[in-house]
Amino acid sequence: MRQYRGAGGEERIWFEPSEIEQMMTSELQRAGLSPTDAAPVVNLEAFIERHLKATLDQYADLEPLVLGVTEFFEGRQPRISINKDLTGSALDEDESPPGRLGRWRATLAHEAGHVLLHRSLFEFAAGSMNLFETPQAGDGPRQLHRCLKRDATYATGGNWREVQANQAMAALLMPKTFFARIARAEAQKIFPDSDAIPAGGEDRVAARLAPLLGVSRQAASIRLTTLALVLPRGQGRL
Amino acid sequence: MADTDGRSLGEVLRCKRVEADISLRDLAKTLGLAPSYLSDIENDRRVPSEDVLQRLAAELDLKFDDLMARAGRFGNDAERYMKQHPAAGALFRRISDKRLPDEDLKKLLTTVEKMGTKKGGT
Repeated sequence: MRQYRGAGGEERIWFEPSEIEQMMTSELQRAGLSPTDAAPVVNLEAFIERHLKATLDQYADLEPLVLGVTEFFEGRQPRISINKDLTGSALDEDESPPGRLGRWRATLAHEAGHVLLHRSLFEFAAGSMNLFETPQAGDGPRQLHRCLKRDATYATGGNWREVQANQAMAALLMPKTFFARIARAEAQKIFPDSDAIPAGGEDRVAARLAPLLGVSRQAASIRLTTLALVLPRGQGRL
Repeated sequence: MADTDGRSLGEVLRCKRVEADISLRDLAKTLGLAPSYLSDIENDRRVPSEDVLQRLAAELDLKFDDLMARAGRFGNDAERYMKQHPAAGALFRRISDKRLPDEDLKKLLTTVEKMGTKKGGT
């Protein structure tokens, strides 16, 4: 991790992707919420409320395009708000639209990523402002991360904070070592003659992994590729 | 008597639920409430009825009187009584106007308890 200034002079924080992987794995372990074969779906509500000690409002009245918001306050726990329409359609409807639960869980993990990675930017040391903080009037929240639909995806472009939160999101939902192990096991069932996932076969494996882990197929597929679990085209083995 | 830690009803309920390691949905299911309604209560967007407060107090092992106070509710019986006896409302307003401290309120409560016992109340 290192701190630096962006082109506009604003303070930023940089994490290597491997640091984010390690941080998230270690936080899940500390929380006692690492996924297991018996319980492969990470309990994000418990992670946020019990481990991060953040206030979680699952039915927040947010603008339609805003899926989640993370707020930091001086001297108080952070607050994560999730759009009530997203929660309602993912969890409360008799027949939830396909992929909605995955999106809801991705949003929770994304916001949890903001808390873990970016809280330090807004914390105060002994009444004085952190190096990263710009003074604000009143006692309102120090910063708002308003995560739009386009932010809470697995794409890598966009705002630097959103990119980092997305990396954290993938690492929380699908911790590297665990994910690689069960991905190989599922791949074996589909491609018994190969000890790796052949190029083009990732979608079939992702379709098996998605319901197991409570993520979208797209998320599982991208994770397979990002972790280099899919053979490059023209190669038989890793 | 209610604690005076300044926390809202929603904060107290959420803290106790998390401490007890119960999810919002599990608690809502146990109490027969919609998760969105329980979430509204925890976020102080809605004030629950006396009945719901009673069930919340029992489930989370909290003091019912404390929850009632934080919800700003007197209770159905008390509200009926105040309608029948306007002096009761006046008495409360005087206490409130005078900003009586906890110590005096406890003395008043003791006196009321004694009066109730003399009249055969509980």
